[in-house]
Amino acid sequence: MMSMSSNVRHLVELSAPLWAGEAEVVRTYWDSPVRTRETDLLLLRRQCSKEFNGTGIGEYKNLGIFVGPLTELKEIFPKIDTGTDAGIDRHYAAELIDMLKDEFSHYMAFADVHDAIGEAGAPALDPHTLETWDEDVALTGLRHRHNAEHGALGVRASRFTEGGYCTLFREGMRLEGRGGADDLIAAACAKVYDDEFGHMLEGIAGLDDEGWSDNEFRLMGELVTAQLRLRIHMRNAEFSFPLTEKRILAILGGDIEPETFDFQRAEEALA
Amino acid sequence: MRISANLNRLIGVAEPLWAGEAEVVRTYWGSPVRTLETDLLWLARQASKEFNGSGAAEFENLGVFMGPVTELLQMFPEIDRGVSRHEAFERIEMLSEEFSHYMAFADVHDEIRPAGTPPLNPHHVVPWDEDVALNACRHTAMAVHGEIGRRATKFSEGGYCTLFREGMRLAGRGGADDLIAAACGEIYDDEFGHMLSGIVGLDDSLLSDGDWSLMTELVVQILRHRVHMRNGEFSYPLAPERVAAIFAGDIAPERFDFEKAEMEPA
Repeated sequence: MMSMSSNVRHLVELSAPLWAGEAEVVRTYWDSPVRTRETDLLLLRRQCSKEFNGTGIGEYKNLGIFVGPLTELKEIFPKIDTGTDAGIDRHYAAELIDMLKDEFSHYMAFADVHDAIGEAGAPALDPHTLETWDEDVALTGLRHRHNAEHGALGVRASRFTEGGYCTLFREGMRLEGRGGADDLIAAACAKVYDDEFGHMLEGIAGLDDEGWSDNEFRLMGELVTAQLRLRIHMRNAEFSFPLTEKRILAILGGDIEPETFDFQRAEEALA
Repeated sequence: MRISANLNRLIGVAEPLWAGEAEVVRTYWGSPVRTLETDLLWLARQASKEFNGSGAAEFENLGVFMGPVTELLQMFPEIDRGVSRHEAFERIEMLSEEFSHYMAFADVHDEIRPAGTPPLNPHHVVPWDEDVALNACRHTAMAVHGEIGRRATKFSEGGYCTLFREGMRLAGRGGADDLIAAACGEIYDDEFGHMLSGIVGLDDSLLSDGDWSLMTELVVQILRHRVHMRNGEFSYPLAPERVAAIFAGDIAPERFDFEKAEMEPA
């Protein structure tokens, strides 16, 4: 079995406390006094907004995760498997289709929960009127800036931080058995987690095959850390601020047990 | 689910023609016409159909790749504002499945091609006359008969998965046969579901007896074209006389698997 390089392991070590911070936001929310049906509906709408057409993870022309891959597929169609220098390998096209399918199925999972727990007679979710929130705008802005300023390395950092080690989905799955909305949220999170966790691990473990230099790994560490810090703010606001600003500052200062990374499963993905 | 007498009759009419398509493929595997070149030819042709075949009631006849891509881009502003999220997801699944089928056949093609020959280029696959005729028949059915034509086309899509079922039977023979069997096995489950989606719902659509008669006529026309299409695709393992005999009913029907489809005949 191949093992991950010290550079990748260092990147994981930098990230683990920040992943734990994001997990703490979600875990705290479930039993927090801030939680009401309205905040549940709000977080579901916000999560739907990200899954429906979120942007900033290096998708085509920053067009969002629905229109982006479809636009790229339309443009690359004449080049698929032409065997020329400008040709596009069929496996790349398949990756785009998989991404579209996964993200849209995640949107559906959360939108279905939203519509199931809303008050009788309340309108169904309209993904085109979903409001964004300041902390998510800030995260997206940072990713776009990293992508623009650092090219492929910035895009790789954005992809690395996508999903935040699946903390939302893992913490959501732990609601199973509590009944009502909690069970619906747990089921949606479990569905998404199954899709995402393996991909995410392969993406992290696969960094070693991409030829980044030590200096590039150092820069990637800086970009990843900056994005993951904003992810905690983004998630705290999405969940109606279950953590105080003071606690977030403590987390960002390192006062937290790091999230345990599944090195064994990641290395199995490389084998 | 218990199906109507009309749907039962339609399935009964289709069964001998599904059997004809199966016979083409089954005969080919052990036929003297079969060579590495004919294997590469049918794999390229099948890959081309999965890459961007047309006539299966896809959006604006744009093919199974550009059709759903174009439709999804157009429907995006309407999702959950008139177009349900589940309908949009069906299009994404169709795109995903068809493209994965293209990949399966293209990978086999490239695996068995002689060293030094170019890999498959799906844009350069030359259409064959019988496939052109099949597509024209489907397009005409939809243009002339609207919804009934569309349903007839959907019903006949995949020809009851005969290619994939017969392909799966090559497993264990080694070499190219095992690769073909694996590709067909990968596709079979997806396609059986597609085929069912073309059948399920026919009973809910409030068709008149006249509509059922017309649909039956169209299905027979399309399925006959499919037998020719498949025979052409596989370098004519069946002689014209045998195809004519099949059309005259000289064949044991390919029985519809009601149990697998979780349906009950009328």
